[in-house]
Amino acid sequence: MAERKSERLMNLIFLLLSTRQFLTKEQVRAAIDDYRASSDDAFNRMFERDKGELRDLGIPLEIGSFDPLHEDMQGYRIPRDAAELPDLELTAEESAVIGLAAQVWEHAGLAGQSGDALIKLKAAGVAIDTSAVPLAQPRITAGEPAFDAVWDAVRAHQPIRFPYGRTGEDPVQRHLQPWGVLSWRGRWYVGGHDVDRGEPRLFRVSRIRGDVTPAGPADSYTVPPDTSVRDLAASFTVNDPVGEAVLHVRRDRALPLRRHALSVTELDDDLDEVVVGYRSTWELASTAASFAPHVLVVSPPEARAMAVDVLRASVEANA
Amino acid sequence: MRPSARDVQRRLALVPYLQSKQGVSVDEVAREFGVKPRVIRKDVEQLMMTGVGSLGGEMIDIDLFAFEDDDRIYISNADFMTRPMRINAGEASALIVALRALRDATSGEHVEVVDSALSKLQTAVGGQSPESVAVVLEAVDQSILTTVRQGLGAGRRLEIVYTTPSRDAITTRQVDPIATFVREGHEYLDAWCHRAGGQRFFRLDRIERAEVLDVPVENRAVAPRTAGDGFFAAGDGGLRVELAVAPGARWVVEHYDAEILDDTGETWIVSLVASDEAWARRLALRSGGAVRVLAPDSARAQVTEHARSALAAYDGLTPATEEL
Repeated sequence: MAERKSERLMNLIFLLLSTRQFLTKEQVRAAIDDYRASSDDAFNRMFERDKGELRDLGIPLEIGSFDPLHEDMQGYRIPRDAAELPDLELTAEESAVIGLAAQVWEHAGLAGQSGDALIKLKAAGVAIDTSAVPLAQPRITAGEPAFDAVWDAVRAHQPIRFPYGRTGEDPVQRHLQPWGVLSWRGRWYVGGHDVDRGEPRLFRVSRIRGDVTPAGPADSYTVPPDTSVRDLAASFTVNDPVGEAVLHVRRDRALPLRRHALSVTELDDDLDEVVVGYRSTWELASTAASFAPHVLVVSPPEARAMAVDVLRASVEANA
Repeated sequence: MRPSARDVQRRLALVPYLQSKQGVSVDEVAREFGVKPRVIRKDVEQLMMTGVGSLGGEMIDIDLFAFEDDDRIYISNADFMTRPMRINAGEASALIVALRALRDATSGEHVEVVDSALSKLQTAVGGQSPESVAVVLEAVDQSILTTVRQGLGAGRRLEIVYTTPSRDAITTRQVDPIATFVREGHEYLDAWCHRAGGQRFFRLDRIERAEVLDVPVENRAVAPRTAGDGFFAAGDGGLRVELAVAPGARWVVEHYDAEILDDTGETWIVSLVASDEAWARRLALRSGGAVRVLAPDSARAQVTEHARSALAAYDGLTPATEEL
């Protein structure tokens, strides 16, 4: 069955590609075995479905009149210029880079699509030797169950709804007009207009705990111009420091803290005074506690008091 | 894309491909198209059933003797299609996002190559630009990246100063670079470590300093490894720890992909693979009592020991309100 359909589609594409004239529906029917052998109704249904398949394959179908005197006689053809891959004039190095890019996705669907693109280039005579350029090989994974549905919705500009929540919480239905997806630290996020809250929001795709369903037709909203998911993410992930904290840090310890230090002053053979910017008292206190006993919060006093509380609570819980 | 649609895509690409490579072997086509030879044979058999239809009366012709006896493909009557179909929007998105990730992981002269490939591809697909997709890799110091690449390209040993955050330790190591790769948003160096006496992964953003030494890398039968899931960078091991997690620290479960052993009570019992005991200790210390280490006992003992020692130091510290 699948083979017959594939054969029919290929014949349809070859027929409409090789004609300069618009071919009427009846002419198309006469040229394709399956269509000819079908009843009128079956042919009409089959032809509509096949036109949809061409659209899914990304092959443009032009509808026009083959006879200027009989405008009601509509016909079909595939415009060669728009349908065919133009010559990219790639250098050997550029071809190699595209070959490497086709290996980046570790996700069945997207790896398949980048592979399909590569095959088209090879069919156009592009030789691909990935050893021509030594590059680091990024790998993009997308194991989140909801990823495919979210990716499709973003590309189709389709509003979606989904149950959302962390492990251990009851999921809540959310409505979103997705603007884009973002991979950050190996995790996927989807950003867009949160319909329930009436403002831009970022959702972690792994926290979508069930089916993603359409909440409206495709192309039913517009993404604000100059929207970058990267900026959207930055606005949610980076807070400006609220103040400066003074820490006592043992020499060669707490390297991640030292890396972001505003200043480091030697106090004695073994101790430095390190000044850092901090975003919240809790974050500062718990980070300092995580380096215990090598980091002490000297000021501000509320962070110092909280660091002491955090340590006491750890002793109590683990004693 | 449905399997049948993928078949159509491949067969459409085969028509111009085979015309430009008359007499190509089935095996070579299979290699180029990334499928099994029997798939290509089936494709060719079906191509013979297609053409411009009964209006033109022409079907694609394959030299059957060469095909059946020598596994070679000669194609004729197919000049109605000499170029492949355009790269469609979905394919373009996948490839362009991948190229951008590649660009982020690239430094030096190769950035230009990636940029020109990107721009030619974007032009060819009609300017469809997936602005709606971004892949952010962790920022790596460009000078470190360049030094590592130099060592790799010239086959020279590197001296690196490397930090292991879980142990809060810093080490100087001589390594023979093998390859770099990117995984889960981080860029890694795969190298033979002379200090460890074995092949190790190093996260580039944890390399504090790097220097190319005037020593060629040793010839050693090492293959670049593909980092599978659950691998650890240098200095990291792999230790199973069991934790009691209070409601306020349930983020731990999701963040570290912990296995839930018991979630019937308020406090969950979970298990996860940590790099070492120090990692578990630091997690418990930062949680302010919301994470209790159940096993191993030695890690739990470390938590109280380190916390008590810090509390004693706070007692001896000049009060914060006084000028220091």
